Amino acid sequence: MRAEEIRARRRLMASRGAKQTFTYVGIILMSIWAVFPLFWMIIISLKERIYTYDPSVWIFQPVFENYVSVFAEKNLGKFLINSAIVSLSTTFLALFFGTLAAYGFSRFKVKRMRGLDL
Amino acid sequence: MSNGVSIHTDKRATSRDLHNTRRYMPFVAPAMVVMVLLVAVPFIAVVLLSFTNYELAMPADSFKWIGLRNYDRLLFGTNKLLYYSLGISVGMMVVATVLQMLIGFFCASLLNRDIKFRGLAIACLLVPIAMTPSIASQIWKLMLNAEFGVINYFLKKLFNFSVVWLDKDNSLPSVLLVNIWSMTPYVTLTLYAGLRSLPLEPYESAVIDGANGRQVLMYVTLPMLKPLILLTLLFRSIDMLKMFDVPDVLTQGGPGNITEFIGLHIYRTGFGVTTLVGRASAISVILIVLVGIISLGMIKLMSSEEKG
Repeated sequence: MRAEEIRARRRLMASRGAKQTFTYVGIILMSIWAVFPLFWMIIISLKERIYTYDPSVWIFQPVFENYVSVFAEKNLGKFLINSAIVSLSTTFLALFFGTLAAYGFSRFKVKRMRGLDL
Repeated sequence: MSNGVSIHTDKRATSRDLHNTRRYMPFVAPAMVVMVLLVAVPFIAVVLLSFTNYELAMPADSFKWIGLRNYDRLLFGTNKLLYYSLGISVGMMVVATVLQMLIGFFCASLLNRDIKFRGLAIACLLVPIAMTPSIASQIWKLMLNAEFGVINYFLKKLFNFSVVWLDKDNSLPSVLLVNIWSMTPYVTLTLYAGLRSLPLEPYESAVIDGANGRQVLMYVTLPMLKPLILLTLLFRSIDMLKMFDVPDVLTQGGPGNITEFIGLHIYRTGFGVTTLVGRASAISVILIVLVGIISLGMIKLMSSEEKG
């Protein structure tokens, strides 16, 4: 009786361990799958230009000429400022009009809104 | 006790005067004006343009109303590309949505288990959501390159074979692959948030009643998660139907017209291969009708689920 109990418990522990291994393998595969394109982007940004189309080079001296040239030659600062202007102003406008409308809909009864609130 | 109840009484329900006077108008009007200017006006313009022969850079005097001729040529003409585009779009919508939901639910239930480094895993999942789809598609195009891509490099090293990813047989699955990469994390995080918000009591009673894992999934988790699953399904399918950026960057609709989804078809008709804006507008109207039918059907399904 007792030996059987121990064996059952051991089997339970083993299956729990297997389940946990499965979970972690799944999580790790999922994370690598999600991150790999970003990782590859960073790798290519640090390689010299001639290695862009050569995935077999893994050990290399990182170069920062790409990062320097996007600021010096391609005017990246200007583009970043453009993005900041557009995103800040759209966020502000959308929040302003959206908050007003949401307040109006929730504070007062609107006849045609009945049945639309999710 | 009665005090506690009266505090929670809804003030809106008792103040009847607010019901009749349109006091909400000053608050709602600005948003309505914005919506009319940015949604209704372009919509009406597209519908009107679809009845004309408008082309880019055409002389003004040949611009005229041609009634239903655009629709006639699209639906009953010799060029059957519209049907092909609609077919692959609907097919991609079904396949991609189903795969995204299945993989997303699987990953969400993995995340919901008792694990370490959950925050790190969620941070990894945010990468595809944060990356601009067109930039991500450029990187995928580089990685899927048949001769110099990193994916074929790994396949050759590990399994000693390689795939020409963007040729005529494999370009549709490649678009599907990139889509699944970019959209599954969204489904995963939504469903994970849903799983976290479920009450624990039904699980306790299911375990006490001796339910096994499969039964807990089928009779406890899925029924409780159903509204959220249906909502995600609705958003994902509409999004998949109007997919544009991934195939535009990855294949430009090619090789030939094999990956010319309906969004790309509209673009290429109106502004790319030909400049027939009128006909492109007609395709847009057909797409709007299709999206409307699909979303109406799904909303009907959702509300009937809520009632019954």
